[in-house]
Amino acid sequence: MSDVSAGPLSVESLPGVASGASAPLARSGGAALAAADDRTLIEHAQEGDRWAFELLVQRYDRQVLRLALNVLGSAEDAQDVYQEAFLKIYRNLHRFRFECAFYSWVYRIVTNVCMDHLRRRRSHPEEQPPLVRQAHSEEQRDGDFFDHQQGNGTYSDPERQVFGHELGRKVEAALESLSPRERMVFEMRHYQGMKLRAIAEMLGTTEDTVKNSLFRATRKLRTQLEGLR
Amino acid sequence: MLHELHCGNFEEQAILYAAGELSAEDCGAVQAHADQCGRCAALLAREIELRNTLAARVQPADTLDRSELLLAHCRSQFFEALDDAAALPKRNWAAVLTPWRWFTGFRHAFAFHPGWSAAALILVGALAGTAAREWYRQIAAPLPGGPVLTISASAPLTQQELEAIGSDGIRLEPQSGSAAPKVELQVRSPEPRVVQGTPDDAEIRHALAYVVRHSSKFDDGVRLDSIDALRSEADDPQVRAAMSDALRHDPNPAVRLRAIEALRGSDAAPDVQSAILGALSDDDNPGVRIQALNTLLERMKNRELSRTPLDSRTLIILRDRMQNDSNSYIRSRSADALGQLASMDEDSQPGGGRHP
Repeated sequence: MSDVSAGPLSVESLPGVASGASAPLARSGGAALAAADDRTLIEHAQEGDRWAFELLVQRYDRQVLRLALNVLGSAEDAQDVYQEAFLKIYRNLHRFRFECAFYSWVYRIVTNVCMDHLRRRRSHPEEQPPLVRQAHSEEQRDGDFFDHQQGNGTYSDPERQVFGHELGRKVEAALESLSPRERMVFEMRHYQGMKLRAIAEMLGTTEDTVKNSLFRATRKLRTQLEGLR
Repeated sequence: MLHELHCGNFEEQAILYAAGELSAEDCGAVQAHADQCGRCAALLAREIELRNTLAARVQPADTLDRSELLLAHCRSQFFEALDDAAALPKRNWAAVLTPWRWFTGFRHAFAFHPGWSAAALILVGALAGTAAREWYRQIAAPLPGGPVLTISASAPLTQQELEAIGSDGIRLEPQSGSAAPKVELQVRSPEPRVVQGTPDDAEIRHALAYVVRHSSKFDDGVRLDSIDALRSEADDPQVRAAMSDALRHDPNPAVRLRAIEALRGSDAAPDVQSAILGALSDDDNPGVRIQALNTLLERMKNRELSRTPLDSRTLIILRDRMQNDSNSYIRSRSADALGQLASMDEDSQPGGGRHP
């Protein structure tokens, strides 16, 4: 069996977790700081060093935005999550006591903000703008989910193209049917490649609870996608 | 972990298998079971197929922000927000407590909560009414150091008006220090009116004396307050008579006790002496009897007062109490009083006896 869960990001690949993190920006006098590890940056940021905090943000924000885009499927919502989550991180950084990995702490905040958005969306569906991925995504311009699955050269087959669109919409609809927690667990495990233990830590719950969420999510998806495969 | 792998729990293990959450050993166990069970093998294959289908989905992040323009936009927006947050003055308690902040908070709260607004209006109205009433009373009252003569146009209280006063129509307002309390009487009939003043006013004294006398009409609290208010006016025969009356007839021992206390210093008056001796002799409450006896003893010790003649019944009652009172303290103190009376007698022999 191939490891299909290996998404574009795994915990091990999170920037800043490994030693010798890259320095994406270089400011005069700040090169040493840019090359510093997370702990040094966090300590500087906790003392009020704005530059250190910006470096921390840039180490994690790509993954945060990716997670928000995948879960919410909307650029506007993802942007909101980005702002809200990092502002929370900024305001609460003084409370971080190095009792867990910094990425776990960051993801805990981000996942909570994402789940709040999902809950709001479920309780007030009429207030939500249409999902970008369904209406204006590059996916539709470049080819649908089925095309990517099967490779190139499907545009010439209108029937197949229609079926691919249909399957893509079904997958999106199936993912939308998950509860916010199930959605987050599934996203983090399946598309972010995180281990269940790490997900449990980020969600502030037990591994068994996360497993149960994964089981429920999988069963729901299987039921919804049953007739399409 | 998978020692007990069977068809019943295979589904969950298949999910974990497809998710890549099982160790190599556990993966082997799952595959081994699937090799032996066709149903579980189909379930595992279906699970893997589902995973492949979902994995092949193009993730929204890959299409929505392929060029990372959105990321750049988010960053610049967030850092601007950070600039704004840093530029804001830090909140402190002094800032929270500024009147303007409170005013703004109230304004917003009331604007969005009509119920609160109505309740606040009622509360403000009630407070304003109470304050206005107090203010009116204050400006209506004579100013200290004002005119020497106070001319009152109100007519004296008639018996009919006194009878129309109820417990709820009397308000006694204690003043600071030793100042006499303010009294307000609401006379309901025949012509309703309000009489205000202090026990220095004859009408007020008259009314309070009426209250003290009528235990069946006024409650205990009002009677006790009235006695307290009249304490400084015990020289008034009308007040003394009312106190003596209360000492004799009031059903509440607390009122009787308070009446004795109020009559201290005035017990040279024959009617007061009579009332105190009556209490010592007949009151069924030992506390009242003790208080009456102590008042009598005080008077005996007071040289100035002792010059006035004692009631003729004093000796008889003291003897009776010494021999027959159920309370041992009263018996003992009565003996003391008799001894003191004898010594007073000896002292006064040259000048003649004071009592029979």
